[in-house]
Amino acid sequence: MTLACYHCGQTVPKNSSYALNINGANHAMCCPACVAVAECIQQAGLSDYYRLRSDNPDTPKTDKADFTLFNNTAVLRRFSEYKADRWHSRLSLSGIHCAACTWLIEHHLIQLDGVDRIDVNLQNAVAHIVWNPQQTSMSEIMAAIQELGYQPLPDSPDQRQQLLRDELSKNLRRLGLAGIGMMQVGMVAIGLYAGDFQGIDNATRDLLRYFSLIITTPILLYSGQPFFKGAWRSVKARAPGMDVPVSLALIAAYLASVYATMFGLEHVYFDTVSMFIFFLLLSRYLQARLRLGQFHQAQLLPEAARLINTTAANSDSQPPFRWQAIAELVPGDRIFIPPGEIIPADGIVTAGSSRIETSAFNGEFLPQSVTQGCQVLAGSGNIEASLEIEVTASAENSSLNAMQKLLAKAQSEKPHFAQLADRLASRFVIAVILVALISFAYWAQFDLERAFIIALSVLVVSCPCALSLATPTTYAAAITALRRRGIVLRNSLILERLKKLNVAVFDKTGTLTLGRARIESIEWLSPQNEAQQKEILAIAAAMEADSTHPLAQAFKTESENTVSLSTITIFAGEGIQAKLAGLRYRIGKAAFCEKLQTIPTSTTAKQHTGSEVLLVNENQALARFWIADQIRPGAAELISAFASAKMSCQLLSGDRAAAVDALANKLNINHALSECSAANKVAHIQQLQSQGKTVLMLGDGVNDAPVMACADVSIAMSAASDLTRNQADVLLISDSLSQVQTLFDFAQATRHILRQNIFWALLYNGTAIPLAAMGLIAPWLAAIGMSASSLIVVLNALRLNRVRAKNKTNIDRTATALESQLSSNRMAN
Amino acid sequence: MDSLYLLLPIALIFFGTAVALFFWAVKDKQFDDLEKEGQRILFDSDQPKQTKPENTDESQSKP
Repeated sequence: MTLACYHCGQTVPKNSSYALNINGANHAMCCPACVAVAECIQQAGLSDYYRLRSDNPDTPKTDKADFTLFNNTAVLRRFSEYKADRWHSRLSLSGIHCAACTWLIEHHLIQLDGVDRIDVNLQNAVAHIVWNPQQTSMSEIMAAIQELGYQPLPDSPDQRQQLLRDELSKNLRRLGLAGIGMMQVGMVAIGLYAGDFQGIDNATRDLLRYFSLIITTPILLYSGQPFFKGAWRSVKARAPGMDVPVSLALIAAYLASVYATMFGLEHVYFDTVSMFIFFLLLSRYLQARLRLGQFHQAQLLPEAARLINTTAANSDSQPPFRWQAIAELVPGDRIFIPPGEIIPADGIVTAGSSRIETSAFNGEFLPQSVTQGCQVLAGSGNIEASLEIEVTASAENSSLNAMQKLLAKAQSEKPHFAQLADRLASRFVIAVILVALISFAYWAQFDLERAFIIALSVLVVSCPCALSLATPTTYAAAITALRRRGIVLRNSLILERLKKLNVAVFDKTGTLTLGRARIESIEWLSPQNEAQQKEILAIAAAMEADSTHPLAQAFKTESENTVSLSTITIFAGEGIQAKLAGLRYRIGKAAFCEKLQTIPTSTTAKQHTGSEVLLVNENQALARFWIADQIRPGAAELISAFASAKMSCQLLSGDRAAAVDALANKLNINHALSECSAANKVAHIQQLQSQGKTVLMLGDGVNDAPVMACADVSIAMSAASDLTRNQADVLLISDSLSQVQTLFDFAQATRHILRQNIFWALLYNGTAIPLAAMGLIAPWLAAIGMSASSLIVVLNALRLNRVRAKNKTNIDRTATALESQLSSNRMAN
Repeated sequence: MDSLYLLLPIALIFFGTAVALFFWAVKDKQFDDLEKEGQRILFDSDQPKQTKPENTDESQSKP
C-alpha cells in the first residue's frame, strides 16, 4: 500500500503524481525536489547510481542556497589554496552515505568545465577539488553538488584533527614496515626452528641469524618507537603502563638475540620481537582509526553577512550590500537576509516582516512571525521574505556562542569511565615484572645464563598480544557492523556503557516526532458522504498548494492537487481565500473563516492539542482540521521496550506545555518537562546523575548539544544540527527509532564477545606465564601459542558481523500496523 | 646451501623495495579511504556509455 520514493526511499504521499522515467521504467517519487535531483542525475548519464548505491540518500531540500559569497577570495582562502593558476579546495559534504554517492559526485563534477580533478573521501565525507578560476567559480561547483541533493560546506580542518591524521599515517608506515619485516623474519625463523630439530651447520645458522638481525633492527628502531616513548612517559609520570614490560621485553629479547648471534649461543628471538611489534601496533592502529570518525565540523552560521551599504543610494528591490565576515560585524551594523538563509547575528528587525524558524533553539516547529522591532537570534532560519536587521551583539556575544560555551562546560563535566583494560593493565604490569624477577632470582641459584633466558621468556610470553588485541578488534568489528546498518558510533566505549542505563531522556520535536505537520483528525461540519469528503480534502489541498506555511504541508501529503481554483488570495497570518465554481472558499484561522460563514463550536476541542484549521464556503461550514506534529514511527515501541527493560523514560522539550503533555500522554511517558532552555536541560540531567542515575539522551536540535555532551550516552538523529551530531556518541543515519533497539542488541553481543576474548587472553597468559617461569616453554612454542591466541581473538571479534538484530522485523511490523491504524482513525473522524 | 649467500641479499633488496613502495602508497594517501577504494573498481567497469548521456527521456518530457 505504501510506496517508497525511488530516489530517497521516503513514503510517497497518497495520490502523488511525481514520477520520472528512468531507463525505460516509471518510478514514483515523493516530492518535486527528488524529481529534480533524479532528473539531474539522469541527464548527466549517471543513472547507474541507482543500481550501485547500497543506501538511500537524504530527501533533498527544495530551496536552493545562494553560494555567491564563496566567490569572495577572502572567504575562499579559508578552505582553499591557490597553486599554479588553480584553486585546491576542500568541501565537507553532508548526505554522503555509500561509495555510490562519491562515485556520483565525482562523475558529475568532472563533467563541469574548469574542474580538473575531484576526489571524494567516503570516510570523512570531504571532497578535494582542483579547479580553474578562469572557467568556473566556487558557487557553480557548490550549486552542482547541491543539484545532486548533497549539501556542500567549506571544510577547514581544525588542528587537532590534522595532528591525529598525521599521527595515523605515521603509525601506518610503522605498521607496514613491521608487517613486511615480520613475514621475512618469520620465514627465516621456520628454517632456524627446523634446524633445531634436524641439525643445521653453524655457518648457515649464522647466515640466517644475521639476515634476521638486519631486518629486525629497523623494525625495533622505527616501528617500536611508540612503545619506548610511551614507556618513558609513563615511568616519568610514575604510573607504569603496558608499554613498560613491552619495552623491557623487546629490548631484552633483541639484545639477547644480538648477543646470541655474535657468540653463537642457543636461541635468538628476532621473530618474536618483530611479531610483537606488529601485533601491538596493529591493535593501536585500529584503535586510533576508530577515533577518526566521519564527523563534520560544526557549521551553524554562514561565513559572511550582507552588510547594507548605508551611504549608497537605495535601489528599488534589494538594498546595495557588500559581504562582511561574521566575526567583523559590530553592534549597529545593518544586514540584509533574503528568504531561505540563516540569520548570521543576533539583532532587531528594522525593516520587513517574515517568519523565522527557531525549532533548533526551542523545539517549536511552527515558525514565529517577526516584524519591525522583533528580536531575532543568530542561527534561526528566515523563511518567508527578506529582512533587514540591526546587529545587537557581536559574534562573540551572540546567543549561539553562549550555547557553545555551555557546551564546552558540559563536556568538561561529563562523567568519565575508565576502560576495563586500562584498569587491569597497571596491576598486570607490576605482577609480570615481579614474576620475571622472582624466576630470575630462583634460577640464578643454579645457572645464571639459563636464569636470564627464563626471565626473558616470562616477559616474552606475558606480552599480552591477545589481551591487547581483544578490546580494539572487538570494538572495531562492532563499529564496522553497526555502520553497515546505518548506526555510526563516535565513541566505542559506549557499547560498554549501554547496559547500565537507568533513565532515557527524549527530546520532542525531530526526535520523537518528525517535526512535520500532519492532519491528526478531521471534524466534518456538515453531513458528507465519502466522495464529498474526498473532494473537500482535494479543495483544501489545492488552496494550500502554493502556501509556504508549515501547516499547509499537512494538506499536500494528504491529497493530490486536482481542483483548479481561481482568484487565490493569501491573507498573511490569517488564511487563504479562493473561488471554485463561483463560490468563495476560505481556509485558515477560525476568526478569518467566520467572516464568511458561522461555524459550529467544536465538540472535541479539548481532546486536541494541535492547531485548528477551518474550511468554509459561502453556503456552509465544511470541515475543521486538527493539525499536529507527526509521531515518529517506532517511538511507541521503543518506549515500551525501554519500560520493559526497567528504564524510566522522560521527555524534555523547549516546546509549549500543551504540546509536550499531549505527546507524553500518547506515548505513556510519565515525566515530561516543557519550555526547557538548554541550560535547564543540562541542569535536569546533572541532577539525575547526582542521584546516581546514568542517563541516555536522544535528541536533534542545536539546543540539545550541551545535553548530549553531559549525558552518559547520547544518540542523535541524522537530521540533527552539526553541533549536536558532533556531541553525540551515536548517530542514527537511517533516522528510524528501531535502530536504537538494534544498537542495544549489538551492544549486548559486543560485550558478550569482548568477555569471551578477554577471558581467553587471560587464560592463555595465565597458563603460559607459570609454565615459562618454570622453564618449560621453548621459544618456538611461545611464538606459536602467541600468534594462535591472537588469531582466535580476531576471528571471534569478526563474528559480530553476523549478528542480526532480534527485534527489528517485529518493530517494523508494529510500526506499519500503527501507521495504518492512525490513518484509518483519521479518516473515520 | 651456497645459493643462500646470493638469495638472502636479494631477499633484502625485495624487502627494501616493498617497504619503499608501501611508504610511497601511504604518502600518496592511498590508505585514507579504504571503504571507497574497495568498491570503486566495481563501479567503473559497467559503464560503456558514460560519455553519452541518455537523452531519450528528456526529449519525451519536453515535447
